Amino acid sequence: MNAVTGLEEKLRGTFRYLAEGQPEGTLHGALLTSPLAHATIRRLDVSAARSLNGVHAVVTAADVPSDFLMGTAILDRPPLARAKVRFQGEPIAAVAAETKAIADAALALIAFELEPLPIVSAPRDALDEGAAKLHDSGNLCSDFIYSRGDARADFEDCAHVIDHTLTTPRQVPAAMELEGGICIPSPTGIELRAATHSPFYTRSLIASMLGLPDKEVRVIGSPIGGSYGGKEEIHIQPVLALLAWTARRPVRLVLERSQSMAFATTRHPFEIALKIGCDRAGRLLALTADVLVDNGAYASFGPEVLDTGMECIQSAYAFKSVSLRGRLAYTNNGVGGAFRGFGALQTLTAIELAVDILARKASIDPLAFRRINLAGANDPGPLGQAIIPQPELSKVADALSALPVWRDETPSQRYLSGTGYALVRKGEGFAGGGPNGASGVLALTLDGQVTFQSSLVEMGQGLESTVRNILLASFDLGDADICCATGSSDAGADSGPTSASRGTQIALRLIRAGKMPFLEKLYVGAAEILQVPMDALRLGPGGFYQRMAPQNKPDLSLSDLAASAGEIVTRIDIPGIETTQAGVKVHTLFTACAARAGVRIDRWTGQVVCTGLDLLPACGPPISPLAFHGQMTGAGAQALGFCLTEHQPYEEGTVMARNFDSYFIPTIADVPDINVHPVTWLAPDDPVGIRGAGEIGLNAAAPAIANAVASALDAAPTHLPVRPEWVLGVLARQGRTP
Amino acid sequence: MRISFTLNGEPQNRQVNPFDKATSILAEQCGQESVKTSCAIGRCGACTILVDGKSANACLLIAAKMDGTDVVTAEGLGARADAIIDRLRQNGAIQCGYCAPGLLISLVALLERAPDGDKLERQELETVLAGNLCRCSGYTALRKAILALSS
Ligand code: FES
Ligand code: FES
Repeated sequence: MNAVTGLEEKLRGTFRYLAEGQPEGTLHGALLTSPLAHATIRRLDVSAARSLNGVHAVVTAADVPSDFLMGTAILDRPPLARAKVRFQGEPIAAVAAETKAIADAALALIAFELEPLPIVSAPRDALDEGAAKLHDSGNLCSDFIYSRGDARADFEDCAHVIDHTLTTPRQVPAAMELEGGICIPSPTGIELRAATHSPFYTRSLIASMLGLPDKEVRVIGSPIGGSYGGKEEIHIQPVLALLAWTARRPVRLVLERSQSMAFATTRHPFEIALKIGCDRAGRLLALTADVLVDNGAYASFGPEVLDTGMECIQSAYAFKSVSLRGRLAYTNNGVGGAFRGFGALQTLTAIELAVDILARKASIDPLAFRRINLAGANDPGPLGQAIIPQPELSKVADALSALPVWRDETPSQRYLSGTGYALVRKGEGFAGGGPNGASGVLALTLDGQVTFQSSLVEMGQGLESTVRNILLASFDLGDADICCATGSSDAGADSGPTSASRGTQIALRLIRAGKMPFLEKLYVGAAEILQVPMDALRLGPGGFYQRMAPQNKPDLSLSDLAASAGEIVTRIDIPGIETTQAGVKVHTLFTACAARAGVRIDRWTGQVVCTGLDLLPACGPPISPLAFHGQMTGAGAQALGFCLTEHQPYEEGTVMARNFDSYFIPTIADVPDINVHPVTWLAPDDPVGIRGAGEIGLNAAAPAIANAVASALDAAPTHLPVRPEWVLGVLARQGRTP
Repeated sequence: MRISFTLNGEPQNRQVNPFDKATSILAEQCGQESVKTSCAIGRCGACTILVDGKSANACLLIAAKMDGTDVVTAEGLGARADAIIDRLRQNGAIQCGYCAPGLLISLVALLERAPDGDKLERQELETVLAGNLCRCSGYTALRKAILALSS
């Protein structure tokens, strides 16, 4: 079975992504973006641009309802800058014209004046008394406070205490497919073809912006040419929809890479100050954490990212007492948002580094130290919430200990090598209050196929192949009898976002829940047509067979059944797996994973190379093994980028990396062979039976790589990505430079 | 100016401007959507094509330079790519696929260049493919697929 559907078409270039294959007469869309990071818009005059021949639409904030704002928990972002710009690259106006040349000429005719405001370039400055405010509400976007037990008192009882502060990079999702799409208006509505993780959510957002009823907006959100969370955000869809609706002509708008590097939402940089301590036996007693997050200019998913990061900061360990504080500050540094790992990656990397430092201090082997402190199978969750028990945690620790030993790097004058471990867990799906429930449809379509329809999206993760495997395992049917329809608001049932590693879990639970009622409808229909009792029938490849007279061919094919009975449809709704605890949003379902990484450090240049990576995800038996493997290896490479190569720096609000000549995503030469060792055991009574594969590999791989650097250098990284200059500085201080 | 070239075996005669890139002529005028633009500065390989049998980044190629050449895109590889596609499928080397046509061109160029029976070394593979970024896959399955194919 393929890892992904359409593999050959993808390779041969005949596979169509959403911004490709535009209809005849499609206009070219282009954006005017802000050159300044923080400014008041004093004047914006588009009249000359509008009257240019060949221009069909010029839109600004004046064309958007004045109360229309975007966001999740906090609505604070206009699709086109209104009165103020808050980051460099923020769209101010957009045009749709007959050619690119005309669109560019129109942009040049837009007269605008920006009056600079003081730039808030670091989260710490943002929270200072006299800092310039990005929003009227102030620069503290959200915060998080939680404590359990008396950490201060427990530190008194500790035999060993360490502090460590880690600053993490602004990692850019940088999918190969740029943000963009095509929008086709009709007299009464629009069809929007642009990547999204949530077709229904996007539909209602765009409909409300345009003042249209939902049903007049059709959103096709997949296939996607890579997202990793980046296209979970509303990106350019509102501007594109506005252009097409205004021009009354189809419009195609695709960002250029340099625009995307400024505009696309990024992983939030976290500054994580940790203090942890253990007793003589190595038992973790207390943790205090102070976390400061650079949110960028708009809230977006920031508050949820902060909450998830804070929830996961204890990793898989049982601390006696914890005292946690997190703050999310607005700055003029782009916009932070959803990115695979979602806050947990940052805090897990910090805590796993701290755990290793403490283990070393207590002279306990890092694996033994982790085992001593592993949360119990039936312990409550990290914030005291009820969670689905995690007996698999100890199996993951066993598997990590049982890995075959690295072939030892030949020691040399020039290179240092190190091995690092991590054992983590992260909440899956949405925290209490999020859209955890989902709907889908099982249908026998008129062409005789059993089809699972959902609004889950395919972005290369292999959702469609996974759904096909679930269908084949659920119904005794052949490959030609099944179909998976994804990715659009046509589904007739909102499955919620394809994010937070929930896609596979949701699909599995929906199909499981719908199977019996759907089968019953099929059997009733077949029995009526064949005039036999239901229990004389059996569903098999191609259709229904009479049990008494075994045949090579079905007695009633699925298409004949559909032809006589019409479309047979079962709508399925499942509730969320969630709990809410007063004041704090928490997860119920957790996924565990361990990792081991090897690095080699060049003492002459300070360069760090990742030489090996093992991932041990405890996700239950993979439904689609190749896709599962691909999720893990892909996550490993992104973790490597997070630790060693990727960062979007801002200087006084100016974007410093505008393309792949200054922003380095790992190449094949940077990534070692990544070994995946699935830990397939989950408790027999586990209520879900699988865990999502999307994020967990990243969350374990990054701290393992960071710990490998720490073990090679005998010094834990304070900033990621690890810079050669920092490595050389450490070696110089240790008197180890050659 | 007018240029003529062959595209996947078909003769072409196109009007181009001095500043047009090969990417826009191939993708927009010739309908070759396999020629993708991702970085437009020669770093990612999404736009890789064959020009007279050698791989090239179309985004760095001035369209006028295609005059008199034989251009092949992923859409025109036909049976030349069958064995490679099979291996990539068996190993699950492709995910979102946005990098895939450019990657396939690089692989065809690499494997057809390697003399018969010559085993492709890991390092050579990595050097050549370092120009084809893939954000999804982590390259592990890709490397395995191709090294096994060449041995
Ligand atoms: S688009 Fe040509 S190399 Fe990236
Ligand atoms: S498969 Fe998505 S970029 Fe390569």
